[in-house]
Amino acid sequence: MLDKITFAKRYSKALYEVLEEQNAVETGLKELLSIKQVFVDNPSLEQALTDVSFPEDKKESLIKPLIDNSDVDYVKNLLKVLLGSNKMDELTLIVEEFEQSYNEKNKIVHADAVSVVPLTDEQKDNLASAFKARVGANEVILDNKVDQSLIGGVILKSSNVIFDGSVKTKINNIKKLLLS
Amino acid sequence: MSINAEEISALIKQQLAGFKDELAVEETGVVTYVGDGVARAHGLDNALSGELLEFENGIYGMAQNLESNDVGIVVLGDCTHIREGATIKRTGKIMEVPVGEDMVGRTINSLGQPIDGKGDIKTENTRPIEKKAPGIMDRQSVSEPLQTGIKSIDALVPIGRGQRELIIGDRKTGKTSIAVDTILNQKDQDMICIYVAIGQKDSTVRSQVATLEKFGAMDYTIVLSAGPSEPAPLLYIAPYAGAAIGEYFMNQGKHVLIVYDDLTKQANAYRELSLILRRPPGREAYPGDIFYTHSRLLERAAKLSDKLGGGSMTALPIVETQAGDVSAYIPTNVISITDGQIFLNSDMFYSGTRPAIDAGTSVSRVGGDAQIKAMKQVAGTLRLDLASYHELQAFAQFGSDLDDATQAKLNRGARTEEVLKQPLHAPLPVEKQVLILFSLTHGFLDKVAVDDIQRYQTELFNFFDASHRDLLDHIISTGKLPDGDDLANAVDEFTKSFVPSKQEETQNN
Repeated sequence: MLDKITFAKRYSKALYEVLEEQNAVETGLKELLSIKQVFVDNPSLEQALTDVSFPEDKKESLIKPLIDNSDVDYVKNLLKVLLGSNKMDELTLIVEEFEQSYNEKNKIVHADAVSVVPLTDEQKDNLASAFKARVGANEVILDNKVDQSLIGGVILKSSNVIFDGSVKTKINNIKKLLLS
Repeated sequence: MSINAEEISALIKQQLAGFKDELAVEETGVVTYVGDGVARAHGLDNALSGELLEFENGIYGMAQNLESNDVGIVVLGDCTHIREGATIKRTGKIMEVPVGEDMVGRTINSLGQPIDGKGDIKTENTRPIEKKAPGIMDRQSVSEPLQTGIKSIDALVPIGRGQRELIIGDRKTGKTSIAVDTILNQKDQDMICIYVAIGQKDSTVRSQVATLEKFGAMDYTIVLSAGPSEPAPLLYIAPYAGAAIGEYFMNQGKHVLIVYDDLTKQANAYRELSLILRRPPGREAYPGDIFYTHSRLLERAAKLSDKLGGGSMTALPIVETQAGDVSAYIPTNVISITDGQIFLNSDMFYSGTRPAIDAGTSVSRVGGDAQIKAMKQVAGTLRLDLASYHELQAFAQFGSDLDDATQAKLNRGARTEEVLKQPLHAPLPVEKQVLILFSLTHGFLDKVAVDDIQRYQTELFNFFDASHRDLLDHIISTGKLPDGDDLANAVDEFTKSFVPSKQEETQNN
């Protein structure tokens, strides 16, 4: 059996390629994100849709409004395929992978900025533009989080890389230096 | 002795001078699975194979499997504190161990940390545990002998410095004892010995260390132990860590003897790891690269060219067989990698021939060149004598009707076997080995009763130490037998004065 990530990667890649042919990547992404939001808001929905004891026709009626509201044919079909193969629980992962490949193509970077006090909009903009130059992205979307234990400075987390400029880490480094 | 505040602050300033206010950039991943000494992590996109990775709680891991979605990591330490979802950082370094002179005389673990309670080891250097073995141009052929102090090895399967000689046999046939005796015999030979215990009981290792200490061998020995209670990854890397330490000394032009005790357990540890990492199993469920695991380890034993200092590393890997089956997977692999093997036979061991070295199946492919000339002269016919003795032994049971030649062969064979017996932890210097073998091959022992041979040997050595030390010194200094009949005359002189036990008793009565 395929593991979940490989499965999601394959589906999202296929979807991305067909949508790209149709020039409908952006509308598709918007739809997928709104569908994902529905699943995130109702955690039990995913469970119900893959539950074997839940009657099939009810599953269809549950998913029907989502299919009907969708404008893009391929997204509609994706939902139908997933429902048919009882893989509805993969949807959120597929959407995440889809978003990631979209971001990669368009050089959009999502980053978490962890600071001691909430950042002002101006600070955010400065940080985003500095980060943009560093990683060579077209657009940086910053998400501000607050963590008091840092003492000072900012930590930027983006995909697998951490840019650590916090006072806490610096103090730890000095500690190591003095103890060695 | 007092340090004033100014000195302290000066010291702190000096240390702080090295501090650079840099933005720490770290590549991380998230642990998705942990168990049985193995973890898997998402992320870590740029991780290298064999790279050292650091978990949140300061425990290190080594990247093993680089797959499309995740990285398989072996955890070098306690994996019970690692949780799913924990972050893991790249260090950019590959696995290293500290190396240095201070390690001599110490007992360490696979990571080079002391485990003998004698305090920190101060080392400045580190070496990667996986390193490519010296190439063709970096080597020269094996030419110097490594004296094990065991008669049957030095005479029949001589080992040279830089050779790889496998010690193979069933459990409890004296494999480790041969290795330990060899280490004991390296006293004052300007050798560094490394004993790598892989999966050996901690109590056994403790008693080995006690033996080495008792005979003063810890002055030039490093013991590296990965006990059976350690996680499998530490057992797997132990021999590589030992080899890295050995290479450090070898590259300084020193001579190193390294014992891997034993590679069967290392192979088992690696099999465990590989199966948990979901690598496909092959024969006997070992992974496909088990041969390479051992060949790249043993290839690191070498005799370096004079340009590189002429140092050497001699490897004595040990492999355990089940019921004498040398055609199992690991034994055949290691036999084909090494330059010969010393086969220990459990039947011989239990019948009292100790060390139980089977002369028929034991070989040394390169050691002959390293044997000293005197030994070659006296030991040349030994193997043949033994072989024909074993062949005729079956007939001997019929008793009387044997011609004289057969009778003589049987006599010689029984005495040869008796001479090759040697007690535990009693290595003999080479000149004395030559002496007793000389007496044997020149027929001086033929008239001595088999039961008297051990006593004959001790008294012969005492006699030569007292009256003919010059002849022994001649063998040591020139490596050849003394010219003329001096040696034969001296042995003859002693043999005439030797009083057999039987006669002694009759005289006493």
